[in-house]
Amino acid sequence: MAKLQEEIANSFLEKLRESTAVTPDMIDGLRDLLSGKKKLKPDDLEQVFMRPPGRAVK
Amino acid sequence: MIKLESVHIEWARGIAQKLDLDFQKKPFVISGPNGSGKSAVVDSVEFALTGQIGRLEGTGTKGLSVMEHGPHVDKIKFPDAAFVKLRVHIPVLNKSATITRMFRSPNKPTIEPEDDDVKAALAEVAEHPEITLSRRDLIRFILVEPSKRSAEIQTLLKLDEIGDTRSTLNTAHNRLQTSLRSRAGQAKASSDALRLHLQIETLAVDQLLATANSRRRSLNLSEISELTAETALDEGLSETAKASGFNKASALRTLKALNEAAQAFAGLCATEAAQITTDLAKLEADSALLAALQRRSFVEKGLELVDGPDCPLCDTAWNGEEALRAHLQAKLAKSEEARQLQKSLTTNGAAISDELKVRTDDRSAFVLVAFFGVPSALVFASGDAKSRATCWCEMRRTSRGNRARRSQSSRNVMCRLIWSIVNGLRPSARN
Repeated sequence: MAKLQEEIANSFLEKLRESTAVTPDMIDGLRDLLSGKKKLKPDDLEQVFMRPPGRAVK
Repeated sequence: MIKLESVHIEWARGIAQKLDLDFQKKPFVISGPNGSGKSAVVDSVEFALTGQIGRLEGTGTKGLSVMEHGPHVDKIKFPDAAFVKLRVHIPVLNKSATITRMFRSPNKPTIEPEDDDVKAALAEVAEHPEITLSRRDLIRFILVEPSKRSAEIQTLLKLDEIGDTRSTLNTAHNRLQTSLRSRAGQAKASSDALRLHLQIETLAVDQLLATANSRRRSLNLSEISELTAETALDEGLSETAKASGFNKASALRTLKALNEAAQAFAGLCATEAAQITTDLAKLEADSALLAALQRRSFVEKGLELVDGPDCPLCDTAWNGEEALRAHLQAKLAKSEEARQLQKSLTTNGAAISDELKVRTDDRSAFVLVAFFGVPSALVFASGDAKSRATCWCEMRRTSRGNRARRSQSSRNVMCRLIWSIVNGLRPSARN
C-alpha cells in the first residue's frame, strides 16, 4: 500500500478507535489485515469484528 | 514537504545531452513548443525522487519500462549515460541534499549527505508516486462526470486500494448488520424463554439468581453468588448426575447372580406341579365333575343337618329320615371322584408350599437385603402372608421413590425377579 493510503488507513483506524463499539483487539486485527499483503476480503473483516457466539443458557 | 533547488539531467527522456535548471526553491513554470522536452523535465524530477516515471505505468503502457524507455532514444543501448541529479531543500530539517539516480539502477539512488534523517525524509517522498500528475491525468480529471470525480481522484492520487478497501468494509458492514439483527432476535427469544422457564417477570440479576439458586438447592447443588457472562446455571449438575447414576455393570452382576439363584427353582416340586396341572386340566374338561365338587360340601353340610323326614336343604318331605339320609349319601358317593381330585390338589399344593417356604428362607434373603436393606428383608422373610404382602407393598413404594439410584425399568425387573423367587416361580425377566 502506498504511503498516502497508509496514512489514510491510519487516520481511519484512529477515528475508529474513538468508537465504543470497537475494541482494541478489533483495531489491531484490522490493522494487521490492512498492512498485510493478502487481498482484503469481507470474510476476514467479519472474523475480526464478529463477537464470539454466546453460550446457550441451561 | 521539500523544495526543489536545481536539477541536472543527462540523456533522460527527450533531453539530449544535458540540461541544468535552477529553481531557487520557488514555484516554477516550464513553457515551450511541442517536443521541446517540458514533460521530460517533469519525468526526470519524478524519476529522481521516486525511481519511477508515472507516464510509463498504468493503462496502455504494457511493455514499457523505466530502464528501457527512460533514457534518451540515442542512449537506449547505453543506459549508464542517462541519469538525473536533483538538489532539494528539506525545510523540516533545514538541510539540503542531492539525489543522483541512474536509469540502469533506478532503485539505488546516491544521496548526499548520507544523514539518516535526510535518507528517511527522501524515502518518505519516494513512497508517494502521486507526487507528479501528468497532463493526461489532469485532463481526464477535468472531463470526468461529477458523479465519478471521487473515483477519479482516487485514481489520480493512486488511492485505488482505498476504494477497494472501502467497498470491502461496506460489504463486511452489511453482513455484520444482518448478523447483528439475527443475533438480536435470538437473544430476545432466549431471554423470553429463560424468563418463562424461571417464571420471572424480568431478567434482573437478583431475581434470576434467587430463582436459579432456589432450584439449585432443590438439586443439592451449591448456590451461585455472582452472575457473569460465563456463569452456567447448571454448573455441577452433570457431575452430580454422574455420581448417582445407574451402575449398569453392578446391576448386570446382580442380575446374573439372581438368574443363577433362580436356576435352583427350575426343577422345584416338578412331580407335584405336574400332578396339579393334570388335575386342573381334568377338572376343567369335565363340567359335571366340577359341579359335583362344588356341591359336595353343600351336600355334606345338608347330611349333617338332617333331623327328621324334611330335607334341610330344600324343605322337601321324605318318607322318613332314613330315606332322606340314604338319598344324600348316594349323592356323596357320586361325587367321590371329585373328592379324590380335590384331595390330590390340596396335598400337592401343600407339598409345593412347604418346599418353597424352606427354599425362599435362604435364597431370597440376600436379594432382599441387597435391594431393600436388612430390616425390610427380616420383616418379609419372617412374617406371615399378610405382613409379607404389607412389607412387599412398602418395598415397592420405596423402590419407586428412589429414582436417582436406578431406572424404572430395571427396578421393575428386579421386583419381578424377587417376587418370582419368593413365590417359587420361574423368573420372567428377559434380561
